[in-house]
Amino acid sequence: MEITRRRLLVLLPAAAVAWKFVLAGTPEASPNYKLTEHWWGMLIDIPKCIGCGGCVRACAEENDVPEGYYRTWIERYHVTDWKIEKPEVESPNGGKQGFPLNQDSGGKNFFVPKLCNHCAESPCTQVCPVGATFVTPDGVVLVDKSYCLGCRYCVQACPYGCRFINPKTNTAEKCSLCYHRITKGLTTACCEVCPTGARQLADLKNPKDPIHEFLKTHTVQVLKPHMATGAKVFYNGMDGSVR
Amino acid sequence: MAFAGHDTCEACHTDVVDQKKQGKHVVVSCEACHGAQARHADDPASVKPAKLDTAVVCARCHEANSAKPKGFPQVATADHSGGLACDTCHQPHRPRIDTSAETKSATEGKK
Repeated sequence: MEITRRRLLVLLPAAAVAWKFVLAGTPEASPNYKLTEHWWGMLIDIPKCIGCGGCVRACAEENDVPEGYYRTWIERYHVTDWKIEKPEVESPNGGKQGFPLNQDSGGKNFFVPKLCNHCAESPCTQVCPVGATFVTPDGVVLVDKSYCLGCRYCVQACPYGCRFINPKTNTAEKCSLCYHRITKGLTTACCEVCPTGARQLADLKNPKDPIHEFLKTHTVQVLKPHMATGAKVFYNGMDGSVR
Repeated sequence: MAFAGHDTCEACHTDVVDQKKQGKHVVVSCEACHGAQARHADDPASVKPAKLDTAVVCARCHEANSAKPKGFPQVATADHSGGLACDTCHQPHRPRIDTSAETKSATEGKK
């Protein structure tokens, strides 16, 4: 087809209208962000968590998480001295509205915030039949909704119960470590609002990140280390009863 | 993006930053209490943050619970204030009650 000046004048406005739809399907651009210079994880300092639920509410608002589903949640543990293998765990509404008062009935009581562990050897990535879930070069496990079939293999495979099927999109959903924020130099929504610093985003490739000093000087643990998932959410002060 | 981040807030609200520096809430991000404010940051003139009900917001963190760390300041609000809003006595950005006359005049009306 020959492009005449008349035709070009007709085509240009049409192209302009189409461009915004092209952009809508394109991930948000972060021109100054270099994937290879980061390796993301998170530090959870259990002795600092007050179970206020701020992280759960912020995550839901930031990521439009449907009511009744949680990308992050808080568990309250109650452990008596002699029942360390059978802790009482509760998480009413994911801890979104905090926790009801409990009587101090002896034993230990503490909060454990949970989220996707962004495993370096993630089981969920390995079972996805269509490659919709993947680990980014900077260590974040993400789901590409446009590829996800909603087969639920990954929901079954995650040893930490961090995935669910979004009832609106029928695709797998999970914590994205606020990828749209961290690639712009911001912290995650949950870390932003955590009033006590119990949650801290950690860049393991950044030598100036305080995580390195913290890991050197504290006894940290990951959830289910026997699963060898390469979990990158590090828990400080975690009791042996935490599952 | 719903949360603007505390750096964005602090760029304009320098007076609040100065107040927070005098108290323990210096480590608490603005949006931890005020909620997501990216829309306000984008258009400060027309999108105004809602006034907070301190009887609800403060209690989220400071209501006593045996699972909270022992050193964390917590009260049974029913006994502590009898349902009064916390900002009746405490200035949320600098919550410690200082009875000296000088501080009183400096913080008055800045609830």
